Amino acid sequence: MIQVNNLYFSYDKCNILKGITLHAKQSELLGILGANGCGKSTLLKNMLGFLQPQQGEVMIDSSPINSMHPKTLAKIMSYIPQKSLLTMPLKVHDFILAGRYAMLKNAWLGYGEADFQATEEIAKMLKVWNYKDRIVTTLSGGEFGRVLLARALVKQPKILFLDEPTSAMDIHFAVAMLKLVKHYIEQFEICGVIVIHDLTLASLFCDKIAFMKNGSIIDYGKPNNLFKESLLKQVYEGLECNVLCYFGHNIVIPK
Amino acid sequence: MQNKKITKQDAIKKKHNIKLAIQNLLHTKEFYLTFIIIVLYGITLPIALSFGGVSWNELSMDIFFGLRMPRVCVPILVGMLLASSGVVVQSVFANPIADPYIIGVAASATLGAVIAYLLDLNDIYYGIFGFITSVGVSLLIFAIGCQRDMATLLMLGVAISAFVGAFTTFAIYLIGEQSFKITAWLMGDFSSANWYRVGILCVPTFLCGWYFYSKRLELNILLHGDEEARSLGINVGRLKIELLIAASFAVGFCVGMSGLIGFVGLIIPHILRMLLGNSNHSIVLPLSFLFGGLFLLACDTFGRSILFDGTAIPVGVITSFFGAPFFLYLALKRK
Repeated sequence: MIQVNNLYFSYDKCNILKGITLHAKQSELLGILGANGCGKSTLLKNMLGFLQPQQGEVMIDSSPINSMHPKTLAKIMSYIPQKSLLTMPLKVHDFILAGRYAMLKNAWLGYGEADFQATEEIAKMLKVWNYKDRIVTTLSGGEFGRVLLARALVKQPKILFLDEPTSAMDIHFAVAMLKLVKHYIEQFEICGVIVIHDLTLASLFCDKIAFMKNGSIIDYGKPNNLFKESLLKQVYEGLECNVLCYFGHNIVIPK
Repeated sequence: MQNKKITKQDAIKKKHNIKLAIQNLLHTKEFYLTFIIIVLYGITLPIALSFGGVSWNELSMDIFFGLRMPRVCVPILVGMLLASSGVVVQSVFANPIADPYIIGVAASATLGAVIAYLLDLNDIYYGIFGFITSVGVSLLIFAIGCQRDMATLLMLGVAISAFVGAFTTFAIYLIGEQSFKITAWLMGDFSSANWYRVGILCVPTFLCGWYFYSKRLELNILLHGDEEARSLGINVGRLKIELLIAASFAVGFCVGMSGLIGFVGLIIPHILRMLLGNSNHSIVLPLSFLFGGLFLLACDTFGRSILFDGTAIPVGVITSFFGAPFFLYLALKRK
């Protein structure tokens, strides 16, 4: 579904991504992991089309994304950021409704009945409908995470990108959010790409994992095959840890 | 028969939906605000029309239609333009204290208008020259200050205002003895209001009003931040440049027709957002149009009526008198 071919990206003459190649399929959640500053978020921004690579390309269903209009691209993919930069008050309902913008044929007419209906459905599904009239900036981390998810899913995207969505959440909300994401990905057969720091959550929820170091992918595959002491030591600059198998999932315990 | 039944049921359902929508509307803050603003217009307009050099008894139709009516129309149009362009500039910079006056766009429009005055051009060129210089400066501010924080944007505004202000002051110096007229105009002044200026101002009011409202959904999305706006389907850079050009068009003509009037674009959107508790542009933009016009009309009427000897205080002095403390309050509150 989404394919990254030999991607190079540099910023201020500093090579950040060096020949990245990976792909993610339908009904699959791909986790991108690595130490801080290894280029995970930059890779995600390249995949989203926010940044233009110097070499290589990102393809969706075999068409390159740099030839697509932002609106066409937005119909296909959704992005959930780590935190919101919202500086002015907006109601939850209007915030989620913005996700439907790419579907509009004529923005002058505003949102239509179908958009309101889709917003209500997704808001009820994610249990945010009760606070649809609250101001987004007054929500707690967990509530806001759900609202971001609702905005991303209201347009029924084919690909969902998540940039460390759980970093500001407690374990309860983080698990709940990832369960929702995983459930949605499987139910609607879409593709998910997540940048995540938590190794346990990655092992529990990701179908595939790509480990990055210094702008390159050093290993790529199923979490259970990748979670090995030697590899983790290499990825995380000498991290000493034990990997335990717990109900079929490899869990990392730092020493 | 069954079809008829269905259409009848549909009609009842439709009627019920309309009834429900009206009931919902009657319970919204925006409805009450619009109602209050219209009532205030009803109060302010007769007061504004009744103040002037001659009393009611001596008032002729010529004075009423030739002087007083345009004197009321110009502040309303300028207020509408300044308040709505304030809303737009704030969303473009994702910064609630960005206002064309504070970031130096208005000061650069003043330079353009003063150049047109120096060249002894027709009134309309004040607006056109003001537009040209303010577009140049606002695009420069956008290039430098878009991704910066609030403090940088403010400093940029101070630096640019001082820089273009130096040229304006020099131009006034060149004019020599006649410069009093231009000094009064620099303070923001409606005393030269006439139907010709009303006609000129109608063009940006109509065009910008239509354009800003057509971009209300995009403006809402800009509040989400650049990357998110892009992911929601917006060509962020292009949209921001288009919006800034439109806002400069509005500000250029306002400054050209009535001088430098500060803080309207800051106060009005803020009060509206505070009262509504919401930044949804579908509501804030039309209301800022209405409220901006009312505010400037009230300020001008206040300035004309407060001094007993009949001297009118320039409207820019009044708006700064209210606006500067309000700005300080906002700055301190944020800290």
